[in-house]
Amino acid sequence: MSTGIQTQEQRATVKQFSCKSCGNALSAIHPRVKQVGCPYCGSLLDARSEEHQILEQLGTPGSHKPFSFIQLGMKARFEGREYYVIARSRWRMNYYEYWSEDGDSGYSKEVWIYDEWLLMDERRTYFYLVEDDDGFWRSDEIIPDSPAMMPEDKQLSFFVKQPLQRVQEFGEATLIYFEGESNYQVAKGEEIEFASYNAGDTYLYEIRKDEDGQMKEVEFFREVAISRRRILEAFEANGAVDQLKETFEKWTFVLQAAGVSFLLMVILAIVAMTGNGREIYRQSVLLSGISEEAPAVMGPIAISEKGLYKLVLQVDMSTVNSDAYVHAWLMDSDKQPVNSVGDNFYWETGYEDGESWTEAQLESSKLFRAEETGSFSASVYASADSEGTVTLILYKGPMMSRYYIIAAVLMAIVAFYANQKRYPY
Amino acid sequence: MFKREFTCPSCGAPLTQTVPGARSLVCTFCGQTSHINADSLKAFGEKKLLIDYGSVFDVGKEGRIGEKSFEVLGCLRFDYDDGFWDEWFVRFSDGEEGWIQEDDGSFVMFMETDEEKGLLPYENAQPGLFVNFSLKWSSVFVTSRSRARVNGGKGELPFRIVPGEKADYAEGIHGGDIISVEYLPSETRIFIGRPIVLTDKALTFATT
Repeated sequence: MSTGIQTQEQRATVKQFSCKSCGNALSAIHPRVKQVGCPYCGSLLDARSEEHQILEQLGTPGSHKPFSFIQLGMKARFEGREYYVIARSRWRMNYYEYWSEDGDSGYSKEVWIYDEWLLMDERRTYFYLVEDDDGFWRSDEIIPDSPAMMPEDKQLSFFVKQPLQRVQEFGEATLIYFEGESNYQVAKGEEIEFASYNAGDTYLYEIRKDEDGQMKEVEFFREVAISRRRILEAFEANGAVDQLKETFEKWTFVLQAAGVSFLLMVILAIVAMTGNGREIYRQSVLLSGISEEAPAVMGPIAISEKGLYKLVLQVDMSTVNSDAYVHAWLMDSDKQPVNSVGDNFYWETGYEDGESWTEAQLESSKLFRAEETGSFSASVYASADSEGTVTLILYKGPMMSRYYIIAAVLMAIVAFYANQKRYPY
Repeated sequence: MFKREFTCPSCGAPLTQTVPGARSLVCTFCGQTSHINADSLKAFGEKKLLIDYGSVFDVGKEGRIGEKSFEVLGCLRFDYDDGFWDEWFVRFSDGEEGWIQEDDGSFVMFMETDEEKGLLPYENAQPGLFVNFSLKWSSVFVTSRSRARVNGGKGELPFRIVPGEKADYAEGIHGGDIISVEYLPSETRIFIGRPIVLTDKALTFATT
């Protein structure tokens, strides 16, 4: 009696032959291989006969390029086990996708393309790696304890302890291309029906039919999302992935730097928007005491340093539903205006459709850069039908929020770009 | 331990029966299938040695499922439209016998049930519907059915097989169990199974 428990038998069988159509070298590592789809010319060849005759044309490989860097023959490590990529099936889905928006919901008709990579380990156990433009999923067959087909209300669950879930997608998928090795009869144009729902992972059933359209088989699967980073790690043994990893790490660094910078810019923008700087002058006058012809003169205002300043005009109206035009000129020691701030100020309230409303404009400001130092003054003109006070304030060293906002937007663009560049596949 | 020696009626090679209930022996040397009749062997069908496709199993190997160890006694290979699958006949250390279905890297441990009444006709096993597989196994969700044939065998087998004869099957799910009905020319048998997972240790499986 043999001692199979002590030694794991490894049979690294490789069948090699040339494509009858294009002459390229083909290989198959599974001893049960029945057919091989040539990835160079798209011919399907009989792998079991000595002649390896051409069975059919499956399509043009150039029209069905993989979504990513993954290729037949690559090695990948998942959960500590080494797998080989031995086949790829491309499917076109015609399906209905659930949508929900603003209280409405329904199913929209969609078309989608995806690949199924078949990965086999040294013990010849398999799993499918599903790939599309959105990412990767590991697909494993499951045996549910409460199998079901999609009912009319489209609420589905395969497990007794899993609440019913809304079917997210259902429809058909057609095999449009195949490359690699298969133990079964590859049938281009083969159709499956499916329905899926989400409950943490994605659960779905697939129905295969025979030539007469009769249901032949129902299989249940669970699909678990795999991140692109994890995919890169799994395939890192392949030389072709080195450059991708380098690119990934470089752009990940850019992404992280841009992300941190973005957050910093947002914080600074918020600080800039809510802070005025250091107050160096403040004076209030009654609105009734000034007019367009007789301005209030304020000062002296000492500006001892060149730099950024913020001139603020605040109007405090004591009468509701009134307005005032107020303008303040900042003047140098020669009484020459160097800057100004002004606006139409108003305070209005009302009652409409059972609700009261208030609108007001009570403050205006202007940033300016002082190029000279010295003693300044201000003249404040007003045209008002309201009682109240006007306050002129000068702050030193305010922050320019708009620059931070622009910088934050730029960083967000850089981060988005870097995230796209991280995955050059 | 039960043991009976025979001679292959085709090539004269020595054959050993270790399972008291074995009904067929397949010669390791020439591939002749023989039925056990009292104290003699009678050859049936063409000689056929199963092609070795690199299975982790082989007749005579020992393995383990969870805490139970088993010995591989025989193998049956079935052909169907999409390919073939193997059923390995095993005997556990407690004397219980069962089948491990091997199909493209997936494995299911099947035990035959005593239930043999009211078995579902093949024609009524419509995938996607809930049907009664037997009096005991009612409301089973049918997952597949297919016309199949016995490709050949290996070692000791508990029923009489003839390579090439029909062996249609229907499979379903009931409460997480896999229910399988095999429609052989002489009898219909029903099995209950659960998937098992090959671990990193040779021929050692974990239950799911």
